[in-house]
Amino acid sequence: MGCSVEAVSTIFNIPNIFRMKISFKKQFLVIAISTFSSVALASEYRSELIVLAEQFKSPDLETQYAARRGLEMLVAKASAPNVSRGVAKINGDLLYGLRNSSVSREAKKYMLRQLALVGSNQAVSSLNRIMLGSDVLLAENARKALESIEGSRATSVLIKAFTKAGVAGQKDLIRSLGKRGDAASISLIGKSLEGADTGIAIEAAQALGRAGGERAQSLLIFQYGQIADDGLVQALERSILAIGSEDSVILKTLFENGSDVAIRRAALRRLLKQGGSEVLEALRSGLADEDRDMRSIAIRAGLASDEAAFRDAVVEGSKDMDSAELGVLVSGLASIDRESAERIAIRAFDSGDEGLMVLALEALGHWGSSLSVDLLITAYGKGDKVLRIQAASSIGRLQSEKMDQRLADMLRSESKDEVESALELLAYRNIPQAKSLLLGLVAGDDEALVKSALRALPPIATQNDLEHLLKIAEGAEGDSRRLMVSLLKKLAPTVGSDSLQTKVKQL
Amino acid sequence: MKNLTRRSAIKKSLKAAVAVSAPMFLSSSVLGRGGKTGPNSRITIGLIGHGKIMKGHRQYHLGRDSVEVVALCDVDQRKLDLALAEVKAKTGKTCPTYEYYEELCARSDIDAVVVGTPDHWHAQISIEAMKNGKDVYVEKPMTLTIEEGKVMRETLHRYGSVLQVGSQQRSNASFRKAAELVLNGYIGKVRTVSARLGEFPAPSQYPAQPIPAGFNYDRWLGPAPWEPYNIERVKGDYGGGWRSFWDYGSRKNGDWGAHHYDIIQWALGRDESGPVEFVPKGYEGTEKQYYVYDDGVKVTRGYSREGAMIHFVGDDGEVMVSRGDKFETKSPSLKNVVLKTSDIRLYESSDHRADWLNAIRTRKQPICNVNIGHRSATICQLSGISERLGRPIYWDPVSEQIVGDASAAKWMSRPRRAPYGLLG
Repeated sequence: MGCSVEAVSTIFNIPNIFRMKISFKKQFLVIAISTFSSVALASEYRSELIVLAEQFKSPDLETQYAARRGLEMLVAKASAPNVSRGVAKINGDLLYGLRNSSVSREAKKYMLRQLALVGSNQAVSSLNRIMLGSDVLLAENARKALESIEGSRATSVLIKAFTKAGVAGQKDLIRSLGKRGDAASISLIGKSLEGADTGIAIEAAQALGRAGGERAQSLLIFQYGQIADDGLVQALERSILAIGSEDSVILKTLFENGSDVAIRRAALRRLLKQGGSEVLEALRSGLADEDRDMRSIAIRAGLASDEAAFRDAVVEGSKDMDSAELGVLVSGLASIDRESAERIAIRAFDSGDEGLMVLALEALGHWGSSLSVDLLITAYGKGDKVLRIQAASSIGRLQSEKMDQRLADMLRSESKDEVESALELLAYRNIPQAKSLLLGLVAGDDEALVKSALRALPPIATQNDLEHLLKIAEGAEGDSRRLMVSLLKKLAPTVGSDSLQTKVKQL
Repeated sequence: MKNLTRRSAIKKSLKAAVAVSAPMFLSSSVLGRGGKTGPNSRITIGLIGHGKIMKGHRQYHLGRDSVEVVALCDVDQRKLDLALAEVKAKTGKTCPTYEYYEELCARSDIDAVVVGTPDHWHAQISIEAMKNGKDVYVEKPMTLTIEEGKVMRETLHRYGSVLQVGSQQRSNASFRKAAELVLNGYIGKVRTVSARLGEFPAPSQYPAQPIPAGFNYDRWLGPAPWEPYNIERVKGDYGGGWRSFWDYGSRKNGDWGAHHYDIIQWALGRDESGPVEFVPKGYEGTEKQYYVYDDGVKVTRGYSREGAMIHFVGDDGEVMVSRGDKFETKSPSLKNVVLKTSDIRLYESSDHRADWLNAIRTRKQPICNVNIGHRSATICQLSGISERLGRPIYWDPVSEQIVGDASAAKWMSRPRRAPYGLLG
């Protein structure tokens, strides 16, 4: 008996999940189950299914799990796309198992779960019987299987079951019908909106929102005009939004009178997306709303609109915005022209509010032009740590050759501070002239600048640069030479050629 | 007043009176408002699900002046008691606690929630929060099923919430640098990627145990199938526990996979798309699970603890990146490349939670938004479906459908246990 689970699993192509560390006796059972699962495709699945069902009765938990997994694999293999009539066969065999009195309740539960994945019309009658039966656990699983089976037969039995069910059962059935979204069930769900039980009506509202379609929308809107219960009104409002209503009268009503601020915001978003001159009033109303998030949504949605009038309204309104609103505006500049975006960001930077200044710097990195070069360099040079970090990042991103030129000029500057700043910024921006200027500084007399230039060199150094540095080092003295040699020894093994490495070793 | 206005509107609507030359708005001043805290003010937060992962969130938010933790929620009273004690110790204040997240979400004075429950609850709680006007930080993976991801995406776009998925590797400089090098072609055409996920123990059955006092087990199970209580099933354990059960997650694919697949999507510029084929381990002798993009890039799962967490191999170089800022390249000089101004620069964040808080103030979408979270979670889920079915899955990332396999397509959703029915 030298055959391990691992070996058998490999032979029968059983997924790793199935390879458990279990005792030898259990291995036998597992192997038997697995073997049946694997060879089942050669014929009908019934006998294999019954063997698996038997294993569900085992007191051993690992065997029970193996049976569960075996059933899952058997159904998966039967329903694979390349298996001829596999779905029909496995449906028939699962139904046989469900009818079989010797099959345990636990096994039936898992068979029902499998029918939720592969069930077809042929399973509907049997599933209906189980759903209407006295075993609550099996009934619930049968309903879930019917919920996922395509076709009018499943819808029909779910509708018929509704009249026989209690309140809890009716709620479950409404959810199932809502998920299916078949037109045939919309009337029934609609009637449930009008019923005496508010809980059922709320479920019905949600189900109609999920089901979608014009009829569902009409029912929701009609009830919205009739209902007084706060909970149901909210459910109707949410479902009208979920269903994607584009009725501007309704949307404006939701925006003005929605039962909570989230509904009002959602309605405003939808209105602004629709556009149209009459919606401009809603935008202005949103921009002036007492709720900050409403104002923020109005700013965002207005900026993102295809309509220039909307974007203009937001930009015009920016003059009266406080720093928080300007923050929202500055973070949403992607939607407007670069020139306006840059102007707004510069104005935001000038506000003096540090949080807003950071956002403005970030925006300038994206939307800035040559006009922003000085501002960014100044922010880097004079700002606090947070501003410096953001300014450096934006200096790296700015799409302007003037920034390259400015950094090159700084590297040539008489001011040591400017040179030092430029050297630091080379870690963020890869400018074309950087290496020659850096190596020029390395060859200079100012030891502090030599040190800074050497610190900036590694990220951009190539073999040629190291050759150049080697020549400078050979003519240098003191601390500068020591630093150059140290850097060469560090970089040569990764960037340099063999011959360069040899020369560096000889230094 | 409210009903009259509503009813008159409905009348107009049903008559198809779309003409709105005379707007029917009421003055803003007469309407009740949500009273939500705005920018420059403290952001009020509710924390939902107090297992292992929430500890870090609690510590972070309790230590910040800009945030106030005003509510806690868990189905286990013992965890709630411990969390509340921590709130009291750190702030000197107390706050309401809830067994039912719906009650927390209904509070109009809460701006945002952090969802740190097991995966099978992520979507439903996040959706409820968004419908109540909250912003959301939801732990990774964002969802348990592909259907949930689609509904979350729709809900977010409907309500305009700000949602961050807790794939915090995006806010780490090494992972970003690695992604930028790959995305900008510094290693040439990418051929293969490996993602080290490790392995959980095989799933098993556990005997029924008595449910501890104070623990609402039925609620913990929620929409997942009913199974008897056992501590192994519910415990939060990075080496197993609920994470190793299919009913509550996608095992390692949904655990480390949610982190690493997310970075791979970022690096390959696939945030709005995804792979096209998923092949499970064991299929026709396949040694390791893998998935493939339409341009042939193959992402293979690593099972051991060896090597880098993510390893990109291109024609001209390699990038290896792991947590703890372990970042290596071949050739080594690549590591220090400064991007050209013409290179693509990725969204920059150095603090995942701060990025979310900042996004709440500015109403922009954060670094790991709902679209990204959904696409990354989809890879986790399709990898899991392929593993469970034992066969390859073909995926159309444009229509977001499983192709040519009707029964596999059913796995994109899961039946939800009553009464946890409909999403959306």
